[in-house]
Amino acid sequence: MRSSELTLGKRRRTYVRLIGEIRHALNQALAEENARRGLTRADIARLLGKNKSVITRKLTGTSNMTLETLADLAFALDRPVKVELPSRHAAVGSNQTNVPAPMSEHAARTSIPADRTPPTIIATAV
Amino acid sequence: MATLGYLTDSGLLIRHTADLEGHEQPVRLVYFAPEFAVWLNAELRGRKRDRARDLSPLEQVEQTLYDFVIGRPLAYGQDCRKLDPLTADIWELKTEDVRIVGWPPRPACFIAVCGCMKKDLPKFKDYAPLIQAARDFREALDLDPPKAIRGVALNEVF
Repeated sequence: MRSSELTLGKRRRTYVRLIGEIRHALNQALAEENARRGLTRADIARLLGKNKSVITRKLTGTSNMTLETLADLAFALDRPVKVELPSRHAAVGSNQTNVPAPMSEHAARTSIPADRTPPTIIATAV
Repeated sequence: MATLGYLTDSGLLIRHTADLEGHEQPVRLVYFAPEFAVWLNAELRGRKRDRARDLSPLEQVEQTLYDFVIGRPLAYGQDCRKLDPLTADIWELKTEDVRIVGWPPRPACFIAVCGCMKKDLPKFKDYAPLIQAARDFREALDLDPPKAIRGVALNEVF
């Protein structure tokens, strides 16, 4: 065996990547706000009326993330949340490879395909 | 003495292939000791997701290795750390529930030797058996010197 993949299945992988994206975006935003205006986890906890350990657990993944928690943290970071579902289909003239075949008409009508690009969560500075 | 590529071809190391999107490129490399790959599939794959977690232990490892490979910033202490004694040059990558012990043989590269559920760590988080296992594996590996990066600062290592 020369290489190893931890195969999760495309549907589940979409969820795993979403959780990873949210965590990354929040920690990145906090690092930027900390550098810009000294915002800390303790400040976020104060703004949200929570214990600092609750904020730490949310940011490190040791506690479930909900959309409400994401919105609360974005509020405390003073950043809006943007959700993107970019197409895997490369734009004309781009160098993108590994583009999947187009969905069948039926699949497009009835479901969100599991092999779509995972969503991107961006916490943007106002 | 051999390169990482030669050791992979010989089956002494296994190159981890992260599940990347078409537009993503690997920025860092991960290799598994064969025993680690066995542990992932035999032991970790069967572990259920804790109710307080979003991801199962295997999913946590998959996402952590993905973050590592695509070059996301690592926070020392939260995502990884060099284990004591520092002179052993053994590191751990951390997920919420899993500890992955190994070492960086080159910058932006990690060889995972053994893993352990955080809750199964020996009393007082004694890493000595895991560190010894990683050292033994490294010693036996016919890798070109230097076999490990000596630094502690994240920007020197990853």
